[in-house]
Amino acid sequence: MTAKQRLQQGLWDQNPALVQLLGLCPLLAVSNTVETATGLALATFAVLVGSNLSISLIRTWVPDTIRLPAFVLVIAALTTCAERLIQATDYALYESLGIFLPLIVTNCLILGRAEALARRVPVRDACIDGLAQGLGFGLVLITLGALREFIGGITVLAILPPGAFIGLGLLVAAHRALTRRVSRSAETQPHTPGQKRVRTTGEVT
Amino acid sequence: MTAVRLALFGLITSTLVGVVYLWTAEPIARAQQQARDQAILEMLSESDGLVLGTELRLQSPRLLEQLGWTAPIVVRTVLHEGAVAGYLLPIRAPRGYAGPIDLLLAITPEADVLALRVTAHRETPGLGDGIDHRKSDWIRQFSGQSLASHPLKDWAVRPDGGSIDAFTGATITPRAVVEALRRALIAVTEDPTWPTLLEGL
Repeated sequence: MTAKQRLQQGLWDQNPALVQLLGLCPLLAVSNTVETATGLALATFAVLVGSNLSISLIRTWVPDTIRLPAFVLVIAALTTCAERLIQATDYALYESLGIFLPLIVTNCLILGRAEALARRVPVRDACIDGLAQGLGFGLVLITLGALREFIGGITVLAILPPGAFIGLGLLVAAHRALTRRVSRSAETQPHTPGQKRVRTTGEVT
Repeated sequence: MTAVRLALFGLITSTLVGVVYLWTAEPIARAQQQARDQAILEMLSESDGLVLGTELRLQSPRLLEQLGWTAPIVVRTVLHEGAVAGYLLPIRAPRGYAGPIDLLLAITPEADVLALRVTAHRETPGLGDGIDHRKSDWIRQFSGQSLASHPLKDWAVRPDGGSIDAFTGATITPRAVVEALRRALIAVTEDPTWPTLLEGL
């Protein structure tokens, strides 16, 4: 897979937030303003790139038996570092992100990418994948934040928790509609009705 | 062999965390202090021209007990044009719904309340956390009051026969705060010489 394909996967075709629907808990909780959304997007991005990089580096060296504990150690260490760095540089942002900053450890997107991809491919590919997936996740997070903050000026519902679900639902719908229109106009993928649920994480090899 | 490798992983990652911890410890402490000072300044902004003064230690067991503490506390002075215009007294309400509630009371030497703020609590979000000034204005009602503002029996929440509003569904939290404030006000009103108990650090 080329770098361009990986980018397209992360940003659109396999967007972690819109298609894989991973990491929804922080996505829904922290998207009430652009500022917090941007903060969490950056932190998640940094941890994801860092974890993909380090896991790809150690991929031949870690026996299968201790794979998971080793990955979790790496991710937890990176998250702790990110948390401390944000606390040191922007204390107000740290306070508004609250529990969702340490909870990056449990963001299934990060362990998912480590398991499905980073442990199988060379460092360069793993980094590009981390970049693409982190960017895809972050852009959706910031878009949702901007959308909610903007509509929040009209109706307060957008700021409240239901606004997060409705907003994300609309984004997912828009993504599907656009994808369908593109594929229909290209006539490459004829639509088959009654499709079974497809595996969306990882790659079937 | 795998155990050794896992141990090695633990070592490497904890070293990384340790380095970042040491590296960020000082900026974080500074940021925390700044956030605390900011909260105090916000609280003092209710009256004009007040600035923070020096830190003093309070060790008198009797007064400490009336403020809800068992260990010595640090009291900060508040200055107005260089003269002491008040004190920042930490007080603790021991009977919160989910553990003690820590408060900071800014009070003049004449025992008038400048402002009152909650500094730490674990009350139920959405019910009891209205005592937090960021959630509701309830706590601001005490600014400018003194023990003489209400007859002594009225220094209680309404369900207890007093004249201070409680929250629907959460009486225990405001009751704890009002009780602690009343006790502290009685202590400093009855003994106006209490600031002489303060010692320099």
